[in-house]
Amino acid sequence: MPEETLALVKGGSFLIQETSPEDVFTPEDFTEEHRMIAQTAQQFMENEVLPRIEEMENKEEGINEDLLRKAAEIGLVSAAIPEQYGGAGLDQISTTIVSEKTGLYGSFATTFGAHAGIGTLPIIYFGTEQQKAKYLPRLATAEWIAAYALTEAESGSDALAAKTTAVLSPDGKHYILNGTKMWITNAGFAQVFITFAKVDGEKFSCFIVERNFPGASTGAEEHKMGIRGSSTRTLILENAEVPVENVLGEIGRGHLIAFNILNFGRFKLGASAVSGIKYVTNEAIRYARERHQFGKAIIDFGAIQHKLAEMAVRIFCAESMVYRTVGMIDTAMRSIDQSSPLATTEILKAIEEYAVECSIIKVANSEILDFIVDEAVQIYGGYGYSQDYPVERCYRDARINRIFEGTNEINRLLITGMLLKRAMKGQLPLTAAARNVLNEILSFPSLEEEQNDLLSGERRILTNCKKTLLLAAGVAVQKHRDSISDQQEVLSLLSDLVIAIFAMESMLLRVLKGIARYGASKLEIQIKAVQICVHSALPEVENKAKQILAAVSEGDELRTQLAALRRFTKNTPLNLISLRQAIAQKLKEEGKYFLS
Amino acid sequence: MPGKILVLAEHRAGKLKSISWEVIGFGQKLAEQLQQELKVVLIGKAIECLADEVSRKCGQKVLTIISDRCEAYTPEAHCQILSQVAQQESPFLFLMGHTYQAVDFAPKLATMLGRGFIPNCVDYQIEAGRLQFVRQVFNGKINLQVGLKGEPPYFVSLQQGAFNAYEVQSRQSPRVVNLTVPLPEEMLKRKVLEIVQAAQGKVDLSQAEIIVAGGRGLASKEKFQIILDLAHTLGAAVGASRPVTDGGWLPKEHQIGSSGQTVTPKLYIACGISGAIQHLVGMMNSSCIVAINKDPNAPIFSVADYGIVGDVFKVVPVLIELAKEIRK
Amino acid sequence: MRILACLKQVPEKDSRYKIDDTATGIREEDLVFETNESDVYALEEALRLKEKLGGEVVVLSLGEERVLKTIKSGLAMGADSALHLTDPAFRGSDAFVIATSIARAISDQNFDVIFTGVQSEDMAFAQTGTILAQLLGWSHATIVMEVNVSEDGKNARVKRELESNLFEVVEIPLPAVLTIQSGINQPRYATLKGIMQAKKKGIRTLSAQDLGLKNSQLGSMGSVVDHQKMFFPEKKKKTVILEGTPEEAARTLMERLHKERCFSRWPSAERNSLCLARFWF
Repeated sequence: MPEETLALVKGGSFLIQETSPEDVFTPEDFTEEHRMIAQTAQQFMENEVLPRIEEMENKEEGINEDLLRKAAEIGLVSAAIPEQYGGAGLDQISTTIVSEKTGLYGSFATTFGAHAGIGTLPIIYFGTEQQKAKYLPRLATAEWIAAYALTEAESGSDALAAKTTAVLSPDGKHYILNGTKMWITNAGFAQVFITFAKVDGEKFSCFIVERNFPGASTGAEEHKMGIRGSSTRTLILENAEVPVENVLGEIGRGHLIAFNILNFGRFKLGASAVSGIKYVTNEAIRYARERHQFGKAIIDFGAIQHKLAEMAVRIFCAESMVYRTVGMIDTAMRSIDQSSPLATTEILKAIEEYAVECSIIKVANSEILDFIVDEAVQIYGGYGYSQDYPVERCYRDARINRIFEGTNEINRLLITGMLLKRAMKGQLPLTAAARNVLNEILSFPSLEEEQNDLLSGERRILTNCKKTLLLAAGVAVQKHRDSISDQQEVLSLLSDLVIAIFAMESMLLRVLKGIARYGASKLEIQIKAVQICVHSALPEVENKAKQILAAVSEGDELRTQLAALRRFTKNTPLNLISLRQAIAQKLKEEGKYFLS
Repeated sequence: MPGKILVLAEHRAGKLKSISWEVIGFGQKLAEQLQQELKVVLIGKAIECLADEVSRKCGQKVLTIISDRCEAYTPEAHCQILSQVAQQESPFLFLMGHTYQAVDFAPKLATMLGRGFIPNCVDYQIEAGRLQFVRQVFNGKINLQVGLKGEPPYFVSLQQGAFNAYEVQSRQSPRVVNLTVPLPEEMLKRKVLEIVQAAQGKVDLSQAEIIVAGGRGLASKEKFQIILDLAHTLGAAVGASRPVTDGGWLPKEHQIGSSGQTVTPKLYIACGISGAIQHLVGMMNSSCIVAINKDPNAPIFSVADYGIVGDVFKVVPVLIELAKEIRK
Repeated sequence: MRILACLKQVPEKDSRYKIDDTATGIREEDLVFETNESDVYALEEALRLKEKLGGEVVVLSLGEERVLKTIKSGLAMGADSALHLTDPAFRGSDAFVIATSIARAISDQNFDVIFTGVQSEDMAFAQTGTILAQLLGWSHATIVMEVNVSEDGKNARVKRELESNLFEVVEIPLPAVLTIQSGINQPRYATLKGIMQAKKKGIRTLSAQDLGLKNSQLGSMGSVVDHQKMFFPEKKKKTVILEGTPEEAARTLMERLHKERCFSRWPSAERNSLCLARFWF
């Protein structure tokens, strides 16, 4: 749907190549239709969902279903479902906008995501014609609500260790499923469960289980820390009879579904965090403007300004990453001929291509969300600890995001793991790039030309951070070789560098694209936000790289590497305090987050 | 500036509407300032007694147009009558209250006569001998000064409550003159079928003399009860700021502010309302505003006549007790 | 039925305004615009009428390019086509000029009903629809809370809002202009399908010249009211803060209010109880 066509980019390639600003998708590139979709979704949340939070938090029954059906009438639920099955068949950008907006209330975001995202997408992408025809029209209207049942009591992150079994019945008509799935969102009212089980105890497979299949039932509502307005129960399968035509995808290839859908889930989680952080930040700004201490509004105090500016910078960052990534996915999806019999395979490839970016967004945005709700509570002070104010709920609701859809720890390992795997398979020339950096540090430093263009300093820092990552990764891989996958601390630190680079670059490219389009004077605050982001990230990158180097090298080798690191991370600090003050001042004037 | 100011007075059920008294009071003041004559115009069926009463009370000439066809208001009859009145009286200015009726006919009338209509004015000025009116635009955030353009007559309506400082004076020339204006039936396109009292759901706070309003500070539907109790003892109507109606503590009809009702009671007691501009625009023209809020810097205090910085849950119960005493 | 819904684009409700250098308008550069609230209700009413009696809904908006957003959202809600009146010469026009332009634009379009909102949230003159009816020689009704068009499409029975909880039911012949009060209905959302379909709907653009209007008939020259200047209202109040314990402050307050005769005309409990009663039951 975007007016311009972006270049097809390889997943993870941002680490080794320069991306030009014209090649990233940004919220400023939304079409009029995208904006209208955003507005519809926002209005739906404000008019239909927010007024019912109290009832939902009190677990009054029927509201989630009611809201999903209302959302379906508008077309929000079925945005991703193809038109012939009653959906709107919209592009990835549109569905991402919907995910963002529905994130305004954590519980609803979870309910919505479980239904329209991970509950429906497996059927869209892996379903047979019959399965699609039977389920999608009902899911599109939310007549039936979907859930995704992967986790078990003893298999969370290690999902493939599932104990639920499936055995073909003697007449060959059913699979008999046994086991208990845990933490199943929407289980209280879902009609359709995308359920994973091992056929004959070994072949990991996926089944569409209906609530009223004999032997399927759900447990009691869990008592959760947050997202209390959503339903979470166990799915109990006791000799549950699932017709053979309800096998989704191929027997023994359930992991393809599980992991690919999780990629989507991770990305959407990151997208939905964006409206949550905007909401909380706006509440905090409002409060800081109203709350007076020592004779002035607390927003006029530097300590509060620091917080608010940091919150705004992070929102801008989170949003930039999400839309950049969906731009890449959308471009890839668009190049697929939907009528081709290979379309599904192609689509899956496209999703998998950006699995690294999806995990980055999951980790980064869930942590940004946690940072922001935490600061919001702090700004509210004692009131923030009181249930009378929404930040208290937001604080509790946020926490799950670092846990579900793959814990952030698992995702960190995945980020580096996937990158290294691609490097080894020769899909991504990381090794060559790392070698170049290693060569560079052995040669004399070339004199860098001082550039004084706008944000040229930040661009240089970004390039150097990429070199830093390649240095650290190269050294670590050289040292550990095949056993690198056991070095979780090193892998996680490397992931942090990857995330920081993607974050900085997404913001930087967005602002550069904006400057080219609107002129720098229109983006004064956004430029400051990029500067804060980049200049605060640099010392973090340096520190983490040092930890990695110190863990894998020693002696002269280490000294050479540290010297190189110093060269890459050399920088004259900016006055970040005054930058933050300028942002905070504008936040005060506008009374809300205004960067996008 | 010799000439005439005509005040179009509205009535229902044999009584002049309070806004019309306000307009007469202001009209008298303006007529004096501009040295003009003031006449009150009354249109209706069987309004002789009312005309006498009005004329006696303000001591001004009253021009009546009495017709069976004016039993119920229609824009066609009003415009026909008033354009004839304009022709006969050649007034300088037509003043009226900004009412549901004025909104309905005045633009039509002004257009018929090739003039403009300046609605809902809250103030006036005479700058260099030229009369100008002030009206609120952009939800009350900006005032717009409007000049009279072209030839008289000029058509102006006044916002309820904005001119209540001008009390009606008793002048020396009471007189009622009747004017006959032919109103052929085919001209009256609009047929009034019935006038009904709102069955339910609609709460008109604009007529309330005292309003007790509560806001987010009341914290919950249950705790909001004390606002209802205070209103009950004061015989007041109940208002609310947006969070209250959004939260479902009160029906939406009680909402005061830019997305709710605009009110101008004699007394407005704001409890636990911080005073977002959206709320303020709906109530800041109340004659007396009391604000009770724990935050001394809440913007509500900027429009309040009296403020109590404190906990609504401590202050309001005392007010209820005191109000009970006074009522006895 | 051929139905027209007029939509005005106005700054978002919570906008912060800056008055421009001429002091006759506001600076638009940092403002975000949306469709005037009561106009959205008017469009919804138009769409409902079409659903009931069949026909076509056209949306019309006057203004620079930014109003295309309003037009497109009208199309996304379900209008069939649109008219966009746009010309630099429209700037500074009052309700009379706007109504004149609309009247010209639709003179050959055989509309049966025109819906407008009751008033705009920016200038709030509340008269474009009524003037339009007068210029077209049509009937009108303002502040409409209910619309029932007869099956034959000849008459409309409408409920108008009056003061003090009163309503009147009137019948007017069509064609007519109805100005719609906020709250008359629940406007639909622009559905995602509607948004996508809107892309394919036609928008006809008309300039002042197309309407046969000269510059002298437009803008402030053609206007019948004279906008002298805009200014921010001053705060006039001086707040008396009542000190002491809650009991003391409450007591002082009641004394003051009593003294100032805030209770001198103690309102009839009956009238106000009306407002209360609704809540209780």
